[in-house]
Amino acid sequence: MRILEVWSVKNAITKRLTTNLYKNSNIKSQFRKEIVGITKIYSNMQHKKYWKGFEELNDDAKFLQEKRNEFPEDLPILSELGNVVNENSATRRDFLKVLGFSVTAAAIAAGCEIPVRKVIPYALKPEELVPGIANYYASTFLNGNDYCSVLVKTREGRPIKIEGNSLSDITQGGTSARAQAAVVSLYDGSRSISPKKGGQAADWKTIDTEIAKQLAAASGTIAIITDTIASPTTLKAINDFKSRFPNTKHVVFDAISYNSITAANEQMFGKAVVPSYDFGKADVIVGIGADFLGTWISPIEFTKQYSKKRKVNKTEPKMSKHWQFESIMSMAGAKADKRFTVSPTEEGAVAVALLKELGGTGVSVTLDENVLKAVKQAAMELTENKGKSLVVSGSRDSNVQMVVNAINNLLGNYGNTIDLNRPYNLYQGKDKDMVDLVEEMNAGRVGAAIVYGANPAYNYRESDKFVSGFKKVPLTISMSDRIDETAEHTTYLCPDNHFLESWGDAEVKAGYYSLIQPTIAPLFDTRPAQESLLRWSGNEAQYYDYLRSNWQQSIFPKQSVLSSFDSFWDRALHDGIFEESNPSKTAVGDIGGMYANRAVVSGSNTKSTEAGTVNATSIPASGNVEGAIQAITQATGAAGLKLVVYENVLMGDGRYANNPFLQETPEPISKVCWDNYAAVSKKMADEKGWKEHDTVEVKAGNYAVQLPIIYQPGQKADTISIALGYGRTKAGVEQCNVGKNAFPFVGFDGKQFTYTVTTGVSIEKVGGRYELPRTQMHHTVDDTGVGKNKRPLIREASLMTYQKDSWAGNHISKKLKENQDEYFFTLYGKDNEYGPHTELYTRGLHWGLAIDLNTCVGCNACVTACNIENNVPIVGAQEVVRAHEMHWMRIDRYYSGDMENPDVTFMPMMCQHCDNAPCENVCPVAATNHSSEGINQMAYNRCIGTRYCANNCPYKVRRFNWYDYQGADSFYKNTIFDNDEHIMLEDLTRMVLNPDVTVRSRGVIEKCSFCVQRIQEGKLEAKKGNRQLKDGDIKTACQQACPADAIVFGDVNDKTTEVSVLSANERSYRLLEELHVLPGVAYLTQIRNREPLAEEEQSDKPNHHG
Amino acid sequence: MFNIRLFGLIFGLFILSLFTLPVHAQDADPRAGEEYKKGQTIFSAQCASCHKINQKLVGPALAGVYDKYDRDWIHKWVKNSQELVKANDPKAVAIFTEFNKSVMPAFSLADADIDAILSYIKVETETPAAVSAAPAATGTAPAGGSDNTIIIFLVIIAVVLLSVLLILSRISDALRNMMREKMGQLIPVSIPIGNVLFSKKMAAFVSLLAIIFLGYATVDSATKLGRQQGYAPAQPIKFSHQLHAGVNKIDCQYCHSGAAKGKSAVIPSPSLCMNCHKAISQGPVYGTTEIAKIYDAVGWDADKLQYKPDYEEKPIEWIRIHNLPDHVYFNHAQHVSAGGVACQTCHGTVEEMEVMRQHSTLGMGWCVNCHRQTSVNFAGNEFYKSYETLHEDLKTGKVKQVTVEDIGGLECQKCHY
Repeated sequence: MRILEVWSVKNAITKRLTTNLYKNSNIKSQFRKEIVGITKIYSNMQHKKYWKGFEELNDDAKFLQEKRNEFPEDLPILSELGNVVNENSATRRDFLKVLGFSVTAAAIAAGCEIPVRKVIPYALKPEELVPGIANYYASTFLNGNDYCSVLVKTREGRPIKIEGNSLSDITQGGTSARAQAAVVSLYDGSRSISPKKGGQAADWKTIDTEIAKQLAAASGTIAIITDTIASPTTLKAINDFKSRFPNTKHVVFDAISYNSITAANEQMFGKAVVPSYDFGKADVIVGIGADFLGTWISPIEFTKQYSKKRKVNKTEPKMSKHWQFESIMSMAGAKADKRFTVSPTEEGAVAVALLKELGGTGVSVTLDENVLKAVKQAAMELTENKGKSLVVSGSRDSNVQMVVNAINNLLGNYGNTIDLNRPYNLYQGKDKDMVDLVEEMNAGRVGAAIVYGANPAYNYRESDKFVSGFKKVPLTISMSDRIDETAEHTTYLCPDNHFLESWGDAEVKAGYYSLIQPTIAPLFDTRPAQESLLRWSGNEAQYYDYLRSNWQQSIFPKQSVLSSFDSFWDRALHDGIFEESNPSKTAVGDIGGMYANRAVVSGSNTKSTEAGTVNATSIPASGNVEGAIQAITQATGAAGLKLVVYENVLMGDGRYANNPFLQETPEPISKVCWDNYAAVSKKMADEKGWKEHDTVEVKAGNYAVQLPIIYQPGQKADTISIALGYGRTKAGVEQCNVGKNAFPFVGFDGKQFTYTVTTGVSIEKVGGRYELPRTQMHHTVDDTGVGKNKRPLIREASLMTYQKDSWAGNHISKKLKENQDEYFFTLYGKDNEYGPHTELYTRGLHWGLAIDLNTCVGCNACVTACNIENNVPIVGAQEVVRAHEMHWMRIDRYYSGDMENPDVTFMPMMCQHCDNAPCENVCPVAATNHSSEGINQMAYNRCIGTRYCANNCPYKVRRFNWYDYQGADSFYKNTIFDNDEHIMLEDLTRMVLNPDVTVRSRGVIEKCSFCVQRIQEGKLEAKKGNRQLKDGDIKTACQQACPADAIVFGDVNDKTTEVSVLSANERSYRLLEELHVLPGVAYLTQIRNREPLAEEEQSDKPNHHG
Repeated sequence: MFNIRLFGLIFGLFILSLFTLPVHAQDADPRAGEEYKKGQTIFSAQCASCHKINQKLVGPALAGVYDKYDRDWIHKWVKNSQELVKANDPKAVAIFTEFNKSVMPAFSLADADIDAILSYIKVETETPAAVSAAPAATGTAPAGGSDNTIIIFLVIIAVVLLSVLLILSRISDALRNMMREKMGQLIPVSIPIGNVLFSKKMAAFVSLLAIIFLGYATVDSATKLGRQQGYAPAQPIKFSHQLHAGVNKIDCQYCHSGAAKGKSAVIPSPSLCMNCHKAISQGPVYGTTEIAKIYDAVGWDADKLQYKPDYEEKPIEWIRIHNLPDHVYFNHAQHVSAGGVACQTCHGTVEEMEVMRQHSTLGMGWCVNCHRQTSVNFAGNEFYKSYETLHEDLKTGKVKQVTVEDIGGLECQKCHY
């Protein structure tokens, strides 16, 4: 920041001298006036302290220095080369040699003829394909329990990007980081390129014959081990297989299971289902250890629903109230209005206490006084919102789920916010089946085992036992796409297609169908798993025909809008979905229109229908709730350390481990990538005298892992948590086998898997500092103000204050807008808004972005989408440690308030496209400059890598290519990676690159471009159509990916666009707006639905000047 | 004096040789007659879609048809073939069955017209088409040579003039000295030319010149590095734009159909060539050899007139002529659809190019110049309505035109992203 100011002063001075705007003013006094201005605006303002990590909270000296610098270290290249230089210090002769070589090389390069390039048109061009124009195909991302209805963008027949399908009522155009990154897994070089027998390549025919023979001869059970199958046609194929081999047993194994929910519903309502939930209808939400915005059941859908209730504006100053009781900081907890930490063993007790407060059966439980008070208040609010509330729990104890069911039933939520009749087909795993199967295998009673979609040798709780049993099975087949931990032990590997190469379907919620269609021919000699099953059961049909006939028989009759199956099929394929409740999504005539799919992409989101009067009555329920309560109370309050193993939004159950884009996406809360860690509270660490990133050994039962610790604010002091999905050994490339496996910590209580260890947990320090790839402290916006006052990066208010005063929390902005001269401390010309450029900037289009801090849940879908859209390189764990990550977009996560249970704010941060950009005027070669449309442009080919711009950017959003991460340089071996074996240097992986975006080479700066390629494309479409641009025609990748609709892009010169309206909102402010750099990104304040804090009251006093 | 005369002679001969084009004496051309031309017109308008002279198409090859059948019969057949078939005329039935009972439509042509066609067929049969009047046959050698000739010509003139100058000055010097000698004046001592040439001043002057020249050459060749204006490589198929776009006047976008739609103008796939070349199997210059390459690519059986079953198509590997660096984004549709720029503006007179070559430099200066000068069709496209102030300025006459530059056409990220 200091650098910025110095530069800015210098600039301002030059500007003033040259433009003679301030001919008579004394510059010195002017500058003094500015300082006075800053002091004035900060005076009498007590702000909450916001911090990203404990370094910042404690004003750690080293960190403060780093915060002021753009780069955390001085030229790391030099330190690295240092050794080399010292060992063989260069002599004059060496210098001459090098000089001679380079001159010769240059001469040869210049003298060489231009290489002959070929252009090879299709021999028979497919009709729908025009080279250079993207085609979009509706499909479905279905991977175990992850579901997203998507549009796949293909260029010249290659899928290169995944976007949300707004026609789907489930995901409504939202996506997740996993869905976004799925396109990369298609081009995964670790996939098996052919079927294998005993590790050796084989051909399908031989394999089929051998397997069919052995299956027919198999004695004992034939086990099909799968993850949850939400595809009706796959289930049919499995059933066909079963009728061919009646000794077949289909075992659904969810490594991360919510069997407790299905079990509880079975007991109480006689339906072993996961019901559908509607957070969009809930005015009061109570989450008990359920991370419904991150990983619980259907997070994309829930984020969509939830965010609709979190959009606050002046005309409708209302939002839902969200209570969260949990032991570890989850994404849902981070967004909660009121969050309370409880021990993992107390989560059940919270439910019991809530039931009691609501007047249901219940007993008194011992809980912290504050928690009990909160439960009481939550119960009051729930009672006021009967039928418009929702209580959800992430507990793996069916007793707790039963109590939660009882609460919801008491509140009349069934039929309103919970629908048992439209259940999810997700999380169908019956944990006991799997445990039984492992026993059976060990007893030698299983004659054949087919593994599809599951990887129990890695993520079954007792993987050793599984493997030993598995080895006793005479015939073992894996359908995995690679030789993973399980496939390693199978005789046959029959690799399945990637979902972008196959046909398929899904019915993720009853009555909500979606289709999967191939967008590329299979890259390798692979075959759909369903087709393999069909072959072995003696059916020679292609899976496509099988799928189509299944749809004709069982799904087509469910509607009456279309009478011919062909048109029904065509429309379902075009839409990607068919929903029984709303069968006619698009008119049939739409199909075949050249840009039909584009129209869908830019279509508006369906608005949630506001629930009117609700009929909140209970439904008949059975089940022994009293017994459940008793069991819970017995378990509550156990002393000692507790260990929680949980799923994070990136790795899932480990199936995404070989996806470098997901590995490098920072975990939303801890900001750690490429690794897992043991999260503990600061309190625990202080008691034991550990420092952050010390290595500890966590032991429970017979299993121990060594991991670095991180301090996790908001973690219950007696709880250690470890993310699942890491520590794979056969994920694919070596760089991706990172972290430690926490699945062996998973327990089994006789009915369900448990993910909490409550007894026998120990933790001790075993080593010193471990360098975690963690982006938390990288690129910190410097908030150093004048004196003790920090610059208010985050602005927030409570809903109550906001209802009274729409400027709540944002009075600084108001003052600046109303009376600029009094707070005149800009160093830029400010006679009118854009200084000398007013005429230019207001003449046509001017792009801007508005980001609602209140709705952003920090899921990082935007970050992943941006990376893939813009060819942002993956740099690897070691480079992240050195703060060399290249992400154009990051989500800054700020804590504030109580260290042990802080408030969390997510702030998506990308280039702000300042109209008075500090970076532009320091570039010696004008490689970065401003466009008339308000874009801060970056010309890579002109950049000479001085990094002055990055040094002068107050938002720290500029990234420098320290190495050639993507093989863009003309000279090879310019990379940091040994043998150039980096994943982004493989030809196969490079197929995912967006052909419309330059791949940057070493030594240049890059940053967010506002997706200029999309802007240009949108403008061209409008020109071709002879029409004006419409709001929403152009969407940036981050906006399109966002499941919370927190990001809005558009033309701010047009005052009717959504982005203009939002930017003019009283909640809107610009980051560091007092610098008058005029950022193009507007942030909307965070509003929390709770009573105002004392300091908020103080700072929020309407303090009018004039 | 002698020298000058000699030079004059050589020069004159040279000039003459330049402008003398080879004149070929021609025999009496059978294609010159009115009858032939009339026949040709009718044939290409009405018969050519089903018949060829030397090859079967939908109907039989027509070479020698005038001898095979008598004229009256031919007249009848052409006017209404089905009548003959119905009347069980043996010749008619034979043809009808041989060609899969495909009906030749009835033509309302006068006997004289049919005779004209027959005489056209006769000429074509007897003097095969190799030396036919197709324009490509008289095409000159590839255009590359002419530039060189001009340069050589200029150099020769310069040398000649210089020598003349030198000689004249020597002569006048000698005369002046003679005069002085006659008048008894002193003859100035001439400084040996060597002294002047090797003086320090001269050395300084020459080095200065050298530095200027070398510096210019370096910068110039550096900017030209990677540019390939005039690049005209030999292509795998000797495709003539002159024939297709020039003579046959096929619209550019019939083949380059992407130009109006998107980034790439698109090199047509051979399947598109087959739209015409199913019927046209012989070219005027190379006969069947070049067209056979298309057939080979798509698997067309020219004898059976059908695609070969289970044929693995072979894509044609054209040599790319117009190359832009990777960091440049160029979109054809922006220029063709939105800008209304004619193809020839950048690609030159392609319709006159026998061998396709790069017409423009494709350098950034070239792009920028055009963006500075070209005015935007501001009123013609609704899109530009967003530029309200510029519309106002146009109305009030503050600006006469809005160029591409005025709406940001020179900004980096219009082409680099």
